[in-house]
Amino acid sequence: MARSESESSGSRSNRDMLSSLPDSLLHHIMSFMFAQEAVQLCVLSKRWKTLWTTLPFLNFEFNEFVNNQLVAFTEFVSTVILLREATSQLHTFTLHCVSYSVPADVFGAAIRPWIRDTIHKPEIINLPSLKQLYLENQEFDQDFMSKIFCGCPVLEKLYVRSRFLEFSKITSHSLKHLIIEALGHLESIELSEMIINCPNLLSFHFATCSCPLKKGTMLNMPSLHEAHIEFGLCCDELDVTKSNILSGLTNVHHLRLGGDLLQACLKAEIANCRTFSKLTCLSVRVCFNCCQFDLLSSLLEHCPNLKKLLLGPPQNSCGCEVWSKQIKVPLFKCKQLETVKVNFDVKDRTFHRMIKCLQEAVAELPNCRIIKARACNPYTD
Amino acid sequence: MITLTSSDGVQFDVREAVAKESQIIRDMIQDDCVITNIPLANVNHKILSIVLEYCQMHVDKTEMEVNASKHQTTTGEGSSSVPVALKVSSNKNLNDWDKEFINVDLDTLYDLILAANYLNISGLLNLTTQAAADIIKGKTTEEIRATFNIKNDFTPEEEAAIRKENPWAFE
Repeated sequence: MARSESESSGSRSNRDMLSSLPDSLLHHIMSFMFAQEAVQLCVLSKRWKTLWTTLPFLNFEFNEFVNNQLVAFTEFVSTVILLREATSQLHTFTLHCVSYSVPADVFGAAIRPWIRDTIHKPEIINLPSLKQLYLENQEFDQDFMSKIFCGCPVLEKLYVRSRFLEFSKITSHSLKHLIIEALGHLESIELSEMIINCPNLLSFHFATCSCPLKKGTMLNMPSLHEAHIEFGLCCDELDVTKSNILSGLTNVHHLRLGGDLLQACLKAEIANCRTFSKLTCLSVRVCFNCCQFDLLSSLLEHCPNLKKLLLGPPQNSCGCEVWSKQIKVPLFKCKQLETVKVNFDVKDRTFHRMIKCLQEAVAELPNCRIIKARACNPYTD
Repeated sequence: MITLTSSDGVQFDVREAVAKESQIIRDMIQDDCVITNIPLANVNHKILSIVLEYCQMHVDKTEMEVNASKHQTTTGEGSSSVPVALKVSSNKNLNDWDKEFINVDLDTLYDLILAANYLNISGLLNLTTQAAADIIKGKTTEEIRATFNIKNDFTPEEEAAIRKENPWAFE
């Protein structure tokens, strides 16, 4: 932006064009800043003094906080929430407080009181027009989650990312997009099942390690269009025989699957899985060996209307066994399959085997073509 | 083709797809399908031509990608039937183009923000407001005032009081 600055001296008769923009556009500009930067603009001039109190976007980021002190950050967040104009609409609230200098449990314990306090206060729990909520690295228990859904009646998008997921039920009629990322291995967790009742949910992204797979899930998401499930890092001796997450997703049009545990989960679920009758686009991101190829083919038997299949490598290479010498390649029976797109790393020899097997597998599907691509993201169409 | 007329009377003939990058034009076309000439009272020809350059590029890029994927052959080694030039420009990141595109003087930036808001082109509005935010970020209060000619209408006492009363924001 050097050019802009150097030319600014010649601006339209040195008028302050920025301050003459309407509030909504200044808010839009401020939405690209962290909350502290946006609030500090209040000393620029009287025009700017109270602009932050009606900001529809609040983005709190601990690592960007100037003095990097937990106490000050906590005070800052609470004060902004308390002093903002109560009647103004809050559209997006983001709180990101990973701290590497403070041990996670200390940090969690310190930050937790204020967010719980604020939730206890009636004027704060009442966020009647909040549509998007991003929560990271807090401890989230059932009580907290229930309050969120009570206080945010029109919440459409919820993003939860944490090591401390201690809730097992989510019920919301307004929620359209739900993203849950359970980080790491949850030793202390009592949660072993997950119940999600969101009749209007359109997209569901769930990255998990062991927790909800032990006892299974109950998913009521009849409107679901898109699902992305990562069966995350494997922990020792994990029992996934009760895994039934796929059965709750049979309405989807687009499905993405990946992660180290995928193979085990598919094995456990595939026999009892219902048909994905609406599924037209399936992405699978896994390490392909002959065994997985069989599983893939069984999975496809449950997808009669599939048009597009995207295959890619797993995020972390998993050192599994290589292909055995000869395998009998099962034929794919998806009559409408048009495209099989394989994203591959040229150095990976297994992909050449993969392509060969795929060519055999689609031999009886005249309309189907195989595309090799080298894109980094195997999920792109 | 659709004719867009700027506030100072200059006419631009553009493809419907390009004009429809604007939400208000999209709504107009949907409401009345025989519409061919749209006067834009709040955008002069200089700014309109820049806005249309943005729309044109974003429409072309999208269409290019669609075509490129259609041309991919079953043999796999990419889109051999797509001309090389097309492939090159298709691979060039649109973000890079945007970054170059938005490198304009402040007056033009304000006008683009207002035009993007008026025409309701969300991509352009985000691009321009983000650019304004980037100019503000990392500057001291004095530097921001100087860059944007913001007149400090606080007395020194008033400004000191704001900082003093809100230590939570300025520490």
